[in-house]
Amino acid sequence: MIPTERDRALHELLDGSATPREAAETEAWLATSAEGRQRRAELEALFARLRDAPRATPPPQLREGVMSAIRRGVAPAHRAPARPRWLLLVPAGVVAALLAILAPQAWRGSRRALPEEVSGSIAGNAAFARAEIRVPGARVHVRVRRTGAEERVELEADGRAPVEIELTGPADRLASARVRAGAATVSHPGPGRLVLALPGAGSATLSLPLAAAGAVGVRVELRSGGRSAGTALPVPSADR
Amino acid sequence: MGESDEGGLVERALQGDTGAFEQLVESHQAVVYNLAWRMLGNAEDALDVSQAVFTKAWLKLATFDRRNRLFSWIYRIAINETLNHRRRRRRTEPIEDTLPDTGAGPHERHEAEERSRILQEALMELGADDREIVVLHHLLGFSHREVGDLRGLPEKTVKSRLFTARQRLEAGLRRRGLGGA
Repeated sequence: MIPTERDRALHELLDGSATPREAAETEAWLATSAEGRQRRAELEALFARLRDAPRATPPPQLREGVMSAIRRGVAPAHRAPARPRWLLLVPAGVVAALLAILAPQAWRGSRRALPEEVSGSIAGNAAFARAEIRVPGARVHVRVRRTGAEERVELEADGRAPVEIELTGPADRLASARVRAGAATVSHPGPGRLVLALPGAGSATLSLPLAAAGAVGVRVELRSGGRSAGTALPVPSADR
Repeated sequence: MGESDEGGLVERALQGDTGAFEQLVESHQAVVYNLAWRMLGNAEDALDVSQAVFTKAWLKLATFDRRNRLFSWIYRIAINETLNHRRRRRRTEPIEDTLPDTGAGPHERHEAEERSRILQEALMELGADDREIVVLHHLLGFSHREVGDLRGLPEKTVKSRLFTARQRLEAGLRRRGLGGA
């Protein structure tokens, strides 16, 4: 076992961060130490593994998804406009008060309309979407995307309480769903209904076949502690 | 892409030119995607996070201080999004490597994917700070100084943390039978 300071010096030598003097000292030590040379060979293997690790090529969906969201009008990138001259005459406190009243209305107006009982939000574009459905004491994250000829729905409960997640929709789609349920138990209480019960934190993935055109989306409902909330999920489009 | 070219693209994007912004996405997507991929260990999550990063960059571009480097600004969004995503998703999934086509045969390719999978498992065992610094320096090729600039750390601290992180990584690889020369 070589001392830590020698090991550190070897790391710096191989990482190219040793000064010429430090490098010369370490090389001199290596010339006299078989253990040191063995250690250098081990570290060279480690550095090579890191150097040769594959770099992933970003899939085209990355750029397409971003540009699709932007062109659909997520928001403009423009600079905040300068305050109009006439507004300079209005005291800043009055402006702030007006903004406090009006801004939440504008924000709500910009959100996608959701059914009344939903306590959550949907974000995304036509190709993928995320939703967060909440009831007091429990929350489930939902992600929807298209993979080949299937719609993939990922559900993840935060584990604060036992939950039931019910999917309702076209009976043929739900009957032929492939379910990777993990710790969840799966039941089919009737045509067009699929229920996952999770005792705590856990996740499940459903792969639903997509019709060539006009597939009807499913609805997800979260139930926990006698409360429920849900939302309809968009069907991801084929453009990615 | 030179800084002046990039400055021009930022200016055009601020005028609403989505094509200019698309060029900025093209320019930085590989680093952002690979950072997210290695930090999260999952290609799908990396895609989600990368899309969220650039969408957020578009939304907030007007707040970018052009005295700074654009990548540093995007990087801060990327690392925040990555860490937030990881906090939300406690589970991890096996990495789905998309190895570039090297012309290797199926056996060599399988071996390379296996080595990459084991490396990713060992990386995922590191703390987020250690993993980030190893990914930035060794997998994404940033110098010690650049890592320090991105992380707000002195260069000396970066070197010291890298040393500790590599020791931990090496121990993880050994446990998986990939240690030694």
